[in-house]
Amino acid sequence: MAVDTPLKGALFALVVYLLTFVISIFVALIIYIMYRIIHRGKETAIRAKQSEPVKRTD
Amino acid sequence: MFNFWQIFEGIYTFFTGSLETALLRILLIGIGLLLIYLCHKQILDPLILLPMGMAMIAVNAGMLVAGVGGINSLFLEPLVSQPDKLMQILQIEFLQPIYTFMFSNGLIACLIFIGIGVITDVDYLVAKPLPSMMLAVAAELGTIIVLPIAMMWGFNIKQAAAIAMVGGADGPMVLYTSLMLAKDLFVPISVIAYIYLSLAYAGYPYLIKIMIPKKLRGIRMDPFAIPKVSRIEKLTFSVIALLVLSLLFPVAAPLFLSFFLGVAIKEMAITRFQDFIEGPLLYGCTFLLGLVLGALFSIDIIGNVAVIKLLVLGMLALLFSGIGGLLGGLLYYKISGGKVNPLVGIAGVSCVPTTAKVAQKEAFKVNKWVMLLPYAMGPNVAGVITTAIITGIYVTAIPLLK
Repeated sequence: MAVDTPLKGALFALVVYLLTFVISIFVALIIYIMYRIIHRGKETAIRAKQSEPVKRTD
Repeated sequence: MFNFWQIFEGIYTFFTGSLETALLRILLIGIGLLLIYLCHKQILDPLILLPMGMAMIAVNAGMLVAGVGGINSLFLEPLVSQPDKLMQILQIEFLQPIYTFMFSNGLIACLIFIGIGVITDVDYLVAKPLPSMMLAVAAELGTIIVLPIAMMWGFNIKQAAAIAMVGGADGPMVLYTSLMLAKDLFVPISVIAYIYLSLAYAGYPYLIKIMIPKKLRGIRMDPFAIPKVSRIEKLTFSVIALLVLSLLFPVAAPLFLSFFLGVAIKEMAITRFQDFIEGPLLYGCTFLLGLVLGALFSIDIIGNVAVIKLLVLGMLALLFSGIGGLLGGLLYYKISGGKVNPLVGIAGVSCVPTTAKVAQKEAFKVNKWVMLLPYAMGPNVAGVITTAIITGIYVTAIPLLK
């Protein structure tokens, strides 16, 4: 399709905006999942360390 | 017959061409002087605009007679394409090597992006990605609205997309898009983009005062309420974002690599690289950028295009993006139940870190206890990503349209 009039240009720009919106949500989702996985991994590691029995040293 | 004034070619060339050419040269010299004055008054950012203003004066005053009735300078020729002529010019015009080997291939944009990556804080973006990305999308309004307006003014879709990218407020992206889509408008668009990006620091506060009530500008946000993000999380973010965005938009992959490499260097605390990139590399490239842009602003290069139209369209693009960002900020304020300062929205206009600093400065004027910068950096960095997404779509999709 040739985009050669301002009206077609406006439609094209609108599609680009919607696509940017969808891709941005996708990128945000990836960042969120990544953050949760690493954060949860760290919390689990800290909890595991805290629950270890304390060795007597005396 | 010998003319005495021919000895002083800069003056002589004022009388060899048309009256319009002479007047335009004087106007450009005047703009150069104005830029220097505004830098001195700290109204404009001197890092780019001081060398640019100086170069504008030199290039428009230092014109020579070239060929029959033509005038030229000894700075650079951006539109030369024949290899033998280019080789000749490379040996004569002193800024030509920088233009040919750093500008026209986008290298300088990538180097500046590495520098921006090294100085960028991504904590809020990693901790709160969705609001950051949504504010950034809202602040892309100018890149969308100006495209049909530019087409209405007689530009084709490639040229319209290149000028609309000014609304993304990201210098390297504007350079890249105009190089890919509208090489004939590369020079005026890039010059206009950098002038406006520098003006954003002076102009956006007025827009903020019009759109955001004073009471809302002073809303406090606790900087310690941002969840703690470790270095490993930020490093992982930079690697994954690089991988995903490069897969989605290979055309902008050099820019993604540059930016996220900078972030990774910062988060790995490689201080030797950091010191080099955020010092000599970033400032060196910024200096050369200003110098070359100033030299490009000469009568023989920009005298033949519809610069006035581009000036208006560039201003509209940044204006709409600012309005979009602030509307996004107001919406976020409503959704959060009044906890969020709507000024963070302006930071979605991704001119890193200028717009985030504008948000902080305007909030500080109302309330001395507001610390907005850590929050504003989230949409600010997200703005780089959304601008890259739109760049990728424009550069990929538009050539496919018949």
